[in-house]
Amino acid sequence: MKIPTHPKLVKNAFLVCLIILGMNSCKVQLVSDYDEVIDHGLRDYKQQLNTFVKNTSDAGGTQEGTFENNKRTYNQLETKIDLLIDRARMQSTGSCKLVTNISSKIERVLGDKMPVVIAPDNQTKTGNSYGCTERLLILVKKQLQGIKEIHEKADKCRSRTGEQLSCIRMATSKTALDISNQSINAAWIVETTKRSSKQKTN
Amino acid sequence: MMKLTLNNIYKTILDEASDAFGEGWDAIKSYAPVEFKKMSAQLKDIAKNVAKYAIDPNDGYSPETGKILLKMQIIATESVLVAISALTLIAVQNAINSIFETLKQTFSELVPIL
Repeated sequence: MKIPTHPKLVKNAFLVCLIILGMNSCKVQLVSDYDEVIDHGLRDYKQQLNTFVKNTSDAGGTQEGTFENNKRTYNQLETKIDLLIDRARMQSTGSCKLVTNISSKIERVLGDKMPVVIAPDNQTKTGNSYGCTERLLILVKKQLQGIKEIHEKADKCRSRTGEQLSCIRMATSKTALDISNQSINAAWIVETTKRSSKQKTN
Repeated sequence: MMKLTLNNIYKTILDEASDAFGEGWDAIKSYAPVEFKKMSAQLKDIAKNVAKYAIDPNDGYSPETGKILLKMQIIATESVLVAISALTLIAVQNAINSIFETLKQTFSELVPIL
């Protein structure tokens, strides 16, 4: 290779070198790596939650279906999702970066009802998808709290003796699971997309 | 070997970007509308069941349950928006890295000593 001597050519060659060296040494990472534990954990959680809500709903109007008799399962489910949140939090930068124009458009529509976490002011440059993953898992947990609240306080089923017992009504179980699964699937699709991206690059 | 011209580099970047980002964007395009439709169906479902309960308390569910389900739907909406954001970042990351990879190969071919 001919060594450039003209100052402008030297400068250009130097820039090319820098670019190539830069490309060799760094890959842009805007999102965290795929996490198999979160992927599988979400699948297990979804399966357990759906089975539990359907079974509890079937047992409506009996002692088996009351909130008191199912507290343990809520504790188990909460623990499961808490572990996943902790795992995501350990690698989180604490914010979830939303593409600026999407964030602004949403803000125009939602106004002061804009969720704090996705408000443009909170879209810091340090955000990565672990911030998002953590947030998505926290939302999954909030959905469980919603189901728990319905079971404990809102839904009532009449027993054979005419007593009003806490329960999850059939109609409630369908809507609650549809909504809850939407949050679980949102977290899940992010992990599976990361997995397929990783497979493509390998 | 490709000639190192501004147009060639631009074309390389453009081809790579549309391939890489296009694939990621397709995922978002197919995900978002489906989820927005689900939201509409679920909101309709809540209204329908509260109305059923008003007619027959053995059917549907109470307004109190309806309110909690509505709150849950707002949370689900946030989940979908956050997921769209994360999917966009994944698509952008893939696009940038594909472009860098192609440029790296292009420059390596053109300047083999490096």
